[in-house]
Amino acid sequence: MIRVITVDDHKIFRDGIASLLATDPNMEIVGEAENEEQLLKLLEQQDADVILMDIHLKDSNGINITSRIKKEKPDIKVLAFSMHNQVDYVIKMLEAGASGYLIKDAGKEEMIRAINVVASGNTYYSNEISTLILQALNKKNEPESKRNSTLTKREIEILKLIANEYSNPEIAEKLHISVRTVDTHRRNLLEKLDVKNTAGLVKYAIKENLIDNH
Amino acid sequence: MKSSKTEIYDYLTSIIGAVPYGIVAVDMEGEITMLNERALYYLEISEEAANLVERKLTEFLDHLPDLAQAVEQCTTFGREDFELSIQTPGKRHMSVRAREILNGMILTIEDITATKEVERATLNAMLDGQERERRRWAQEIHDGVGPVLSSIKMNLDQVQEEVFDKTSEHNQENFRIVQELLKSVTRDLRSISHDLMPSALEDFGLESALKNLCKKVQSTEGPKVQCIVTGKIDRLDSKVELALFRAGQELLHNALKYANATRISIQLIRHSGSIVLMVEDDGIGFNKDELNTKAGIGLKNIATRIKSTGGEFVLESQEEQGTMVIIEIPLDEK
Repeated sequence: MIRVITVDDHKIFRDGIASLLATDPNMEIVGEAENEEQLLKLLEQQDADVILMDIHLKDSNGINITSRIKKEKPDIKVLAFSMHNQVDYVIKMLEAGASGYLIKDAGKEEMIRAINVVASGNTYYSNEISTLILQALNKKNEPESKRNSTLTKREIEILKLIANEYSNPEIAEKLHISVRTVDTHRRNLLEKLDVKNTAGLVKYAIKENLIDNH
Repeated sequence: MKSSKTEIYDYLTSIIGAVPYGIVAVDMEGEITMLNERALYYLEISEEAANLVERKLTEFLDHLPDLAQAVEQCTTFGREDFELSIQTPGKRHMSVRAREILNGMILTIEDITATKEVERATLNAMLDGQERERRRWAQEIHDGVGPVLSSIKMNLDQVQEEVFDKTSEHNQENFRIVQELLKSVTRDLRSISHDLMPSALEDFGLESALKNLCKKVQSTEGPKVQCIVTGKIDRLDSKVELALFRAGQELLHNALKYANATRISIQLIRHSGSIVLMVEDDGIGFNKDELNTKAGIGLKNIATRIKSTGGEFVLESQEEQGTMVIIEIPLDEK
């Protein structure tokens, strides 16, 4: 028998889960809580195998509660159950120690499968969530550089003109923009290419072949 | 009645000295014939009135280039009435009206700083109210409709499980339709709630919220939306985060809706002492006279909101040359 506790700030939602799980002979709802305080009180008297944890609660958040539970009762598995399909929430929940992440529009079948999987000590992510995690991991593996050298077309245009010895007012006139705007672009380029001055910009332009040879 | 020329001059001087406007009269060459003290005060010219008479007005307007240009145009290309709203270096707002008079032109200058302040305060109050309202609706969805929908879904799942195999093919198809509809209404609701008040902004800050926004609007057939972040953004003051996020949201929305662009980029660049948000597209652009359209009003609201956080708003656009908006907000370095 898998003992489940639901943490969600809406009774109607907790009731819904209770009635869904009631039909599964393998599962039992042993308690519910709408915030951190209630959950901690409940856990003093009642052990559980899996906690279904919402993220946005009225006066607390599921991420903090999860890290606390994992510290105090590491045997209890936490399955995040949230409306959010954004990668930051997934990662925070993983870091907090959750064993799985389920989006709230999951059907009954998937919910039961997920609870079974995490109860047995494995991790469960829906397809959508796995994709998010993979994308995030791929990004992490890219060479870590503080700067971002992705330049827009307009930025390359301005960099070319700077490298070809145009002054700010000359660039402004050529591109029909204000001198201030050119100045902002210049400062942005210094920041983006991580160089200190115009010489650095020119050096970059040479390296990238942006200088006119005439 | 006065008769001599000097007496008439003194009489006129005393009249314009008593009116609550700044007044400057110039002749056809743009040389000052008469002015009052208030004009000097409003235009922030620190000279004696007597020293200005018979000299060109534009000589004294180096600090007010827009006005100088308008006056210059009147005297060079023939007289034409104009109305101009200017901001002085002393950060005061003046409304300047020019009208043709006998052998010259008269400028009437009115201090509209108070009106402008009221306008700004009103707009800020309106925007604050709008944010509160959005927050309330997002909360309403989170607490009301959202959980009910989940509950409907769970109950439906249960009924379906019990009767699906026993029911007619027609009813099975109905189950599938209802499930699909439920799924799509849940997605729509999540998306609306997210537009109203993105929880990622409050929970993770601007960078995360803007990246999510780009990801959300990126579609296979629409323009390519690029989000470029330079430097470590960290958490900013929540007012600044919200103002920049709303600006990004609105600008992106405008670009998608009106620009007919193939590429849109939204950039966040951290400078020492400030943060820059830049939104560019390669679309059809517009000329600045079109600013009174619906999109234009949105832009004006963004500009006002940015200015009220102490930031700057610059719009560069030309027909067929795309649109670029640069917003820069100074940050206190801790």
